[in-house]
Amino acid sequence: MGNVAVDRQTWAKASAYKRKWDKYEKDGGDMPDRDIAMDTLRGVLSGEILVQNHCYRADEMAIVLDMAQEFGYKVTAFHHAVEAYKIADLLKARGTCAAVWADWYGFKMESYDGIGENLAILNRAGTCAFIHSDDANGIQRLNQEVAKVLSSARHAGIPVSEEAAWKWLSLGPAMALGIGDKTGSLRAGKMADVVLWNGNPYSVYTRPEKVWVDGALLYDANDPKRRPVSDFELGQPGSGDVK
Amino acid sequence: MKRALLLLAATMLATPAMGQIIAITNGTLALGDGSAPVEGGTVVISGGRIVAAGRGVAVPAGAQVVDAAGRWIAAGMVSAPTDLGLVDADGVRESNDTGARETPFNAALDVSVAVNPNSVKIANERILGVTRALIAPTARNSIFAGQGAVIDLGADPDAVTRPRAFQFAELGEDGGSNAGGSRPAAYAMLRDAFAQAQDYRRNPAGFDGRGKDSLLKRADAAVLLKVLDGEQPLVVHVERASDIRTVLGLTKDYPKLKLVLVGAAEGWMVAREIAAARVPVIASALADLPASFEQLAATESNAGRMRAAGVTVALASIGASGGDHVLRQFAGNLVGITKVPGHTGLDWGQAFAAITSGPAEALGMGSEFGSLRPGRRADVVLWDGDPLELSSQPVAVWIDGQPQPMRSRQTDLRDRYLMPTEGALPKAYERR
Repeated sequence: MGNVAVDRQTWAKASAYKRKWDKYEKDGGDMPDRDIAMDTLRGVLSGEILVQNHCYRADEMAIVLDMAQEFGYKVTAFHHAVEAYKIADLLKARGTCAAVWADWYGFKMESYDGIGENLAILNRAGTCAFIHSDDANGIQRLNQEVAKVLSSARHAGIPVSEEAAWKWLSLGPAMALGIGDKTGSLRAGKMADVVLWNGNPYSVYTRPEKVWVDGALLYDANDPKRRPVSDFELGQPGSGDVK
Repeated sequence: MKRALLLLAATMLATPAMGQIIAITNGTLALGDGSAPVEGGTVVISGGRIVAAGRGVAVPAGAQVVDAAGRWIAAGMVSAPTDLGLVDADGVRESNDTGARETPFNAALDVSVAVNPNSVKIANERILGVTRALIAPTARNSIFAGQGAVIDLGADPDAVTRPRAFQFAELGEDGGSNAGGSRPAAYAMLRDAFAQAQDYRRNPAGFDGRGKDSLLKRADAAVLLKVLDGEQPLVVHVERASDIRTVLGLTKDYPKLKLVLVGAAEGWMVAREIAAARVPVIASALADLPASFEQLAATESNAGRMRAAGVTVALASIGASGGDHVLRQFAGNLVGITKVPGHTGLDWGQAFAAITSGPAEALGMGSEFGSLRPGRRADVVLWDGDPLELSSQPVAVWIDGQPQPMRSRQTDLRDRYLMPTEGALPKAYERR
């Protein structure tokens, strides 16, 4: 309750700040005081800044969506969103995405209701959803996280194609970041961010063989010269070793 | 005659339902002992134990036959070190019995008294293929965390396979921090505690282990004597190569210590020394980042390089945020990297052994559980495909030979929300 009271008060201030600046930019007069935090919230209220909202529980996501409606902003995506599967319809109605882990659960009260079918249930409901990449280890194997969701989906009788599932780690997050027109798929004209895999990327036994970013070959499993060594690693134990 | 009848009755009482012979036939068999999988295999279970497993094994007369055609019959996964049964939600302190910051005790703490077989995580992980676990306490105000236990994940109240099965200790960055702020402080604590335990052995009556200012309590001293005598394995969490060397060197002064290493991110740098000391390692599988100064040389090739040097390697469930069952993903990845030039992984049999018999072998309990070799506890998982592959799921699970219910709180939640429909009443009224 305290959280929401402070949040609503802040949005009320931001709304007033926006009105003041909108009026000044339109009509001129004395320049209002600048407040950098309020500048940011004004950017949200005018739709220039996308909101990536950390939230686990279904009831809390629902409250945030009410608040967004009250103050006229949009939540682009809830991150973690462990209970998103409970409110797939609401998220869909508000056009809000869920960025979720494949199977993380149980490490705190907020994640107690985590299930492996979260993303699959959201996908079937037509809710925007994709895989979450906030972990330094998990981000190295997003293909496997998606594979786990595919497996959970199939075993629960939820139909998902392999092609559709690949969007959960490519176009889905790119769109939620507002860069879906630049990357996230291999459409002509987009940045050349391409991976050549040594097998089906949904298999645990598959590894990337070559990786191009913006068309530049930055990793080649068969070429030791295409294995970067960061400044931090240099001269330390394991430097230049495979990571 | 009467006596014979009584004897017969006693025998029957001792093996309720356990007398049932089960034969799981015609599946791809993954024994968990390091061997490669074999097709057309059969496992025979009786009295809660494996009687036979392999190709061409005869089905005993009267056995309940489970046809595993097209499926894999595999040893259940063993998670180590883990908090299964000790925690409901880690972040909810009162539900978390892994560590105790305010207690005056350390080595004596015994997690077996806290095991809750009804913890929802146990059922969640059971139906995902984890059948047994090495549960470990967390060290808080000492290098010694206390006594870990071996448990099964069966749907019954009798969870503890072996209480006080090992002592868990921290001797790297965490150990230094717990001991007051440095590695020297950790080793001062260790050597003083062992010295006091020996004082206690020499003169129990004169041991000041109950005084307010005593550095070691009587209960801790008594347990540390078991560690010093090699009766209780000392499972030590260390990551850095130099820390591993220092731990291995402890046997010069304490020759009976039965050491096991956990973590060991830089183990590959000292693999030959670990192998020569015959110390098993329960290694972090996919830790490949310099996440701390004690893990600068972390690499996915760690387990493979140690194994190649002759170290007995199991995979740790450290970092298994998706639940203990992701051990199989860890193992599968170590098979996958064998195809990448410059990487060292494990072959399939080694990788699967590292998440089944590996932790059991590390404790010297490999003849008791962890594989499908005859005599072991019958912890068997029937999979609809390769158990290391992400597309596979368990179809059936037996623990101690007992078939397990394939439901959990996670399946209840899934089924409640699987096909949402507008109803007259809220979801809370949809009861199973």
